[in-house]
Amino acid sequence: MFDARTITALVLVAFGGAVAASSLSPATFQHGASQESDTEDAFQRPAPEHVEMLKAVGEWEGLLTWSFPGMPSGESRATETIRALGPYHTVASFQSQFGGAPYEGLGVMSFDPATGELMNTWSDSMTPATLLMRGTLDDESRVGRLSWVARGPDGALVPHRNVTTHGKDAYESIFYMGEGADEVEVMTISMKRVK
Amino acid sequence: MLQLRPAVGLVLLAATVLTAVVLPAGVLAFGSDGTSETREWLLDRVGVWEGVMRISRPGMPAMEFEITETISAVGGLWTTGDLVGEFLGQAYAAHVVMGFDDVKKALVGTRCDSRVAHLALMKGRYDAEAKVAHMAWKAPASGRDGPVPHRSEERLRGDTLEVKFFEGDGRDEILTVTVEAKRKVD
Repeated sequence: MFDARTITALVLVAFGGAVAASSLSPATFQHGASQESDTEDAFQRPAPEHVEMLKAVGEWEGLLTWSFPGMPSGESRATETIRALGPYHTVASFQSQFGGAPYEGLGVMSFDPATGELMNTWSDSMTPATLLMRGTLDDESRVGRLSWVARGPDGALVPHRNVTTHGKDAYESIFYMGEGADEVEVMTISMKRVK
Repeated sequence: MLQLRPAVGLVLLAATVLTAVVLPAGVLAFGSDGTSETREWLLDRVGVWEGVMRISRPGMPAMEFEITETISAVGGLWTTGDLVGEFLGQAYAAHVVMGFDDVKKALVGTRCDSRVAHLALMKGRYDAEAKVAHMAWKAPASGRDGPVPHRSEERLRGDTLEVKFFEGDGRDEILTVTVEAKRKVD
């Protein structure tokens, strides 16, 4: 009979996960996994970062304001629903409006135990490109920092980053574009938890 | 530890707002390099699919379980796929985002599931003539050091969807998963 560990191993090998070779022997598949290793545990047991990510599961609403150089500033109300996908990932659905048009964003958040990085991909209904952000967390200050590369005003790819300060059921996130002396603040998002 | 997820969910709005303001909508929505064929194929997949997933490894018994995948459109640019099933009494779920990326000039995707911590970042192309989408990515694999190549082939034939997953490359490549599903008609 297969146990949960073996099922996990099957899926891991099927889709490119990582698991100790010892748990993938034919004997394991026939009789269920029984051996443990540090390597296997490291990949299968959710990391503290995973646990923290899943605390964001719920519904959020708030306001975003933007002010790009040489362009009119604006603001829009927003809502976001975040759900868990197993113990390792969260999937976000974000809704707002820009210029009177509906906006929907999709985010997948994950933590890579191998690199110690948070990873987030983002796609939305207005942009024909997907973005990959990588970031870190500061446990003491409760500040998150993420960076990525995206198009700038002239269409060229430029560095972006954000700094997010968290409270218990609210957060503020400030976004920057460019680097060094050319960096400018372009957007602020303030959200509160609804559920 | 931080609760980072909500902020991250909004991070790219800055780029989005900027892009939407700067570039005409027509530029955003259409390209001349196979973009339209790829996006048409992506949207043709929208619907509810019911079928089976088969998992196999050399020297081990193949396993099969029933799945349902719901593919939804996000605007005209992206699709999400949410696959659910029960595998030997254990719930299984996967989430896939796919779209044509105008910056990378490629079909791109993100895939994760409820059993694996790894986040697959896929890149590939849609072969309009053969009607097959080819995706490739790197991920850890059993008994190997470092990431190894993985790839998939996705075929849509009317109301039948087939996806095959492969691990390794060259003569060492093996078929690991096959998904076969029929479009659910209400």
